[in-house]
Amino acid sequence: MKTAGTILALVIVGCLLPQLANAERTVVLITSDLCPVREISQLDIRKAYLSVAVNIDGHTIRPFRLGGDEKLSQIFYQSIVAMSRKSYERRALSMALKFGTPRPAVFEDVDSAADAVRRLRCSVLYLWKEDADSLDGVRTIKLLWQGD
Amino acid sequence: MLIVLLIQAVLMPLLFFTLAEAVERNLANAFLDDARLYARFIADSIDDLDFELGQDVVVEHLDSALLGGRIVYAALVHNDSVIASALTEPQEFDRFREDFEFGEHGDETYYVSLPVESGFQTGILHLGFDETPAREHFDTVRKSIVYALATYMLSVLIAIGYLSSAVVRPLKWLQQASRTISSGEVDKELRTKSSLVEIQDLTADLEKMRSKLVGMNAQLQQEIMDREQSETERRSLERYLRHAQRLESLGTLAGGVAHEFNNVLQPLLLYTDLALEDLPADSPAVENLKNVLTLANRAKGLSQQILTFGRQDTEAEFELVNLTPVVHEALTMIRALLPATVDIRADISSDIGDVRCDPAQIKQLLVNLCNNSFRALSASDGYILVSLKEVIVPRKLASEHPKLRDGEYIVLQVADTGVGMDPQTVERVFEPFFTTQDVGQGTGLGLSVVHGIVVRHDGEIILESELGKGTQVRIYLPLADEDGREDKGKRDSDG
Repeated sequence: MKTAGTILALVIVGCLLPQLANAERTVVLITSDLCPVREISQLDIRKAYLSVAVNIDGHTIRPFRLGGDEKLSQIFYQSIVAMSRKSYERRALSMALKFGTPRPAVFEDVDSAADAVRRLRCSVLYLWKEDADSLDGVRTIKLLWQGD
Repeated sequence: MLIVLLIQAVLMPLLFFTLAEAVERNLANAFLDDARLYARFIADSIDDLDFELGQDVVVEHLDSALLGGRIVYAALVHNDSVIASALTEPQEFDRFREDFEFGEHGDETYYVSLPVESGFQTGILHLGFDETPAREHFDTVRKSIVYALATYMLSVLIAIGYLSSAVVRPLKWLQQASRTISSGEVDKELRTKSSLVEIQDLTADLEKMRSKLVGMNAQLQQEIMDREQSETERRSLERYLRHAQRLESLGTLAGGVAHEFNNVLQPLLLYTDLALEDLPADSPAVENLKNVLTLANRAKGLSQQILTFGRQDTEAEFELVNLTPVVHEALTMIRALLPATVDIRADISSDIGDVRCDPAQIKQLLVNLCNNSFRALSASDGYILVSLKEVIVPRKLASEHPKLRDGEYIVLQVADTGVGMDPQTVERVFEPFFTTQDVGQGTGLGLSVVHGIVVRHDGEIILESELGKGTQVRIYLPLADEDGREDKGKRDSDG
C-alpha cells in the first residue's frame, strides 16, 4: 500500500514536471504606486520606448529597460516594439535625434530598475511578472506578453 | 599564377559563406521586422473587440490575416478556449512554439504571440508566419552569390590568362633575350608585340643597351683589326727593310769589288791590245792573247753587271720616254734570242704616260726577266706574258711597299707559267750570284741587275711566285708629270 502510494506520488510528480518546465511566464509593465496613470495603450507604450514623448492625463511617461535577460529582451523587441533588435536600435536613435527626447535608460538588474521607477513618477518598466510581484511601491499596469 | 589560383580557391568558399551569412542576416532581420509589425497591426485591430460576444468578428479578422498569404496560423486564446481562423491547418495548433529568431525550431513557421485586451478581458493572439518564401529568397540570394563568385572567378582566370600572355610571356622573352645578350649574342634586334607600356619601355631600354654593346663590339673588333693590320704592315715593312738593307750591303760590297776588278781589267785589256798590235799576225802567241782579250771582256761585262746591281754604273742616260715602243723593240729582240718554240704573249697598252728612264736599261731589264722566265719554262709547256699598262696604286699596296705611293704608275709585268719558286728562294732571288741553275748555266746576276735598274729608276719590283704555278714579276715605274719630272710631289706629300 505504501509502495503503491509512493509510485502514485512519483507518477504525479513525473506528470507535473513537464508542466512545471513549460509553465507559462508573463511579462508585465509596471509603474510607481504614486503614478496616477491607471491605463496605458499598447501604442503609447511603443511610442514611449521609441523616444516619442507620451503624455497621459498631464503625466509624461518615462520608459526604462531591463537588460541582462536575453529572453526578456527578445520579448521586448517582438511583443512591445514589434521590430527586430537592429531596427529598434536604429529607429530609437533616429527618433531620439528627431524629437530630442532621451532614449530609454537600460538597467542591468531588477532592483536598480525598480528604484528608478519608484523615484521617477510615471516611469514604466517591463519585467517578469514574478519579479514585479516581489517589488514594493510599484504596480502592474499592463500585460505585455504571455507564453512558454 | 598558381599561387593566385590557390589563394582564389581558398578565398572563394570563405567569401561565399561570409557574403551569404551577411545577406541572410539582413534578410532575417527584414523578415522579423515585417512579421512583428504585421502581428502588431493584427493585434491592434483585434484589441477592444469583445472576444466572447464578437467571436465572428474576431474570426473574420483572423481569416483576413490568413488570406494575405503570409500568415499560416492565426488563433486567439482566451480563457482556455481557442478562437481560430477556419483557414488554419489543423496541425498548426499542435506546432505552436513561439519563435524569437528566424528559422528557430526548424518548423518553417515563425510563431508569435501577442496579448490583446478588450475591457477587462485579456487574450493571447497566436500568429504563425510562413518562412518558406523567405527561405526561397535566401536560396535565390545564395545562387546569385554563387553566380557572382563564379563570374568573378572566371574573370580572374581570364585576367590571369591575359596577364600570362601580356606580361609573363614578354617578361620571359625579355629574360631569355637578356641571357642571350649576356652570352655574347648581340646581333638580334629586340622587338616586342606587347601592348603594355612598361614592357615596351623595358624592351626599348634593353634594345638601347644591346645597340650600345653592338657599337662597342664593332669598335673593339675594328680596333683589333686595325692593330692586326698595323702589326702585319709593320712585319712586312721590317722584312722589306731587312731585304733592302741586305741587297744594299751586297750592292755596295759587290760594287767595290767590281770597281777594283775593273781597275785590274782596264790595264789588262790595254796591255793585251798593245801586245797584239806588236806581235806579227802569225805569231803563235796571238791566239793566246786573243783568248785573254775575250775573257777579259767577259769579266768586264760581269763587273759592269755588278756595278749596275750596285747602282754604281755611270753610263745610264735618263730621258722622258713612252715605254710602249721600248718594250716592243725589246720583245722583238727577245723573240730573236729565245727559241721559236717559246710562247711569248704580249699585252702592251699604247695609251700610257711617259716615264723618266734609261730605255737601254729597261730593255736589259726585260731581257733578263724573260730569260729567267724562259729558264723556268724549259721543263714545261707554258708561256711568258709580257704586259705594260698604267695603273693607280691602291693605298693598301702602297702601305706594304714603302717605295710605292698611292698614285699613278706604269707597270711592266713579266709572268710565266713555269715551275715557280719556294718562299726561301724568293727571299734570296735578288742577291747577286744566287742561282738555282746548275754550275755554268747562269751567272746569278740577272735579277740582281733587274733590281739595281728598278731602284735606280726610283721604282719598285714585286715578285710573286708559287711552286708549280709560275712566277709573276711586276715593275712599278713612277709616271712623270707634265713637266717631265717624276710625280714626286704627290708622293712626298703622301709620305
